[in-house]
Amino acid sequence: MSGQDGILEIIGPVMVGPSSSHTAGALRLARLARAVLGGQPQQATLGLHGSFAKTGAGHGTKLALTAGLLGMAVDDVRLAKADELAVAAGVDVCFEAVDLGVGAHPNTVVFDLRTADGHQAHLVGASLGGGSVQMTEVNGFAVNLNGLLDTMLFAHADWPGVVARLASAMALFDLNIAAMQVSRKGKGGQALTVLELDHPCPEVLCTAIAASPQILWSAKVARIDAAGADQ
Amino acid sequence: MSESVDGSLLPDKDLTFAKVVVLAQHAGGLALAAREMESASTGLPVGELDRLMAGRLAVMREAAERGCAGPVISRTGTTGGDAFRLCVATGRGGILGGPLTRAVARALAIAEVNAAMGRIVAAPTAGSCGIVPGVLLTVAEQCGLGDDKIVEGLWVAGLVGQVIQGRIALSGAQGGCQAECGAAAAMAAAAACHLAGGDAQASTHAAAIALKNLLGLVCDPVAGLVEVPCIKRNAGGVAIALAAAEMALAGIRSVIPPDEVVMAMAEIGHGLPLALRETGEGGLAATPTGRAIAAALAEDGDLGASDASVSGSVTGSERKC
Repeated sequence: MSGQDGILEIIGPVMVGPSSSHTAGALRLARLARAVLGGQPQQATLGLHGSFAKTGAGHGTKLALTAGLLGMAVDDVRLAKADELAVAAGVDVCFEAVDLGVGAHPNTVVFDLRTADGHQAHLVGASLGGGSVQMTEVNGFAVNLNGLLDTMLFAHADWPGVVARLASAMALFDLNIAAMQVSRKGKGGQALTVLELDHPCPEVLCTAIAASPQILWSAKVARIDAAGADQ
Repeated sequence: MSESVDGSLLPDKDLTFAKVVVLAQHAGGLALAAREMESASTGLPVGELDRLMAGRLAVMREAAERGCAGPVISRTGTTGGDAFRLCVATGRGGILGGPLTRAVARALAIAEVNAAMGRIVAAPTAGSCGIVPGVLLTVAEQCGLGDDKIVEGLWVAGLVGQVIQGRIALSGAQGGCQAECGAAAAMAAAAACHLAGGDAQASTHAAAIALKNLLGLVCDPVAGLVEVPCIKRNAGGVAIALAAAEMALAGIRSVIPPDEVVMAMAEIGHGLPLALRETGEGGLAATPTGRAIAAALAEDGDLGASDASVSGSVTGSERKC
């Protein structure tokens, strides 16, 4: 089974060509990485694996990844000039070929991002085809992010009650949790809770939770709109 | 199908053509069933869904018109201008004339706009983006149907894509070209059949007949690009889709039931060697001419697609890490 996209994802997205996996999917993946970073990267090193490394250039994959880092939408015709726009915006993007082994999806990207104020993120994800994407690793935590729902990521101490408090906070704001993932780096170490929500988490709540001493870092990822383009 | 909390129907992992036919009987047709399901899973009202789909139709039409109005050349310069060439030639007659040639020209046009980094609608993928609109715009023109009917056709096409996607990912990398142009032709055939008055059963058989004609089609793009042979396969997909729809409308049925055809497609797709799944390493890509094109593009630097270009393609604003 390969999962079920909505019909607007089958007849869609509206996008700049030439490849749904190597152009639109690449852009969405990079947008997801930008969202987890929490802003525009100043420095970005992108490792391209498999088909992305081999055929990426002709599909405009590097342009699409750059456009995603800049926060552009998949139907933005400026995509073809994303490299120039990155220079103008002071975003330094570099690419290298990486070999993640035969088990890795052929369209995998390893992101190492840094904002101007020194905030960093390391992410691994793949473009699955038809514009669908999946982020599988965030800052050392195993995840499964596809961007189809509004998503919150909370890294926190692996203590009893933190997950319950996060869920309670969502409940206070009447936010329905559609899916939830918890992973950790060893018992009592760091944990990551990913909440997929039916509505975006209000800023006031995001800020309040982020200020909690148990939260190490958090990120807010807007869903890919049904129209296939912007959030 | 499974019942959601409010009693509406939600798609499940086992969406099949058989279930879709039953659902259509209850909903009053495939298009209504598709919209109802999408509304249940997204929470968006039907009117909003139609508005979004009409937006997609506008992008499809714009691309078709652009590619037919004048030569559109790909980003690499390898392909382009064929839709315009065909439009000019058929203006003087031609062996097929009429709707089939116009449908083929539209499919080529949209696929060329895609290769030129223009705006298109992936349907289901960018590589196969010309087939569904090529067929639907032409059937609507032929039958005198308005945009609201074309939008209906797009819902039917999308529903068929969803059924296929339940068995195999819609990407050349995983299922070969049969999972891109094959799926698109099946989607277009079902939608064309629907627009011409066929019922749900006829539409699913139109999809099956189209798919059977493209089973096993490999994904072997020259230099890994969505150009050769992808653009012309959009043209072929249109012809097969229209033939399949015409057959289904005449009462012809697929001997192998539609769901079994999709099962065969999945089995074939999973058995395809890696070289024939979008790696640009086998089939047409591995021919002397295919390799020569890839090598020439690699020398150009930025557009290079061979292994050698990976380490060497640092141009413009890109720096080495």
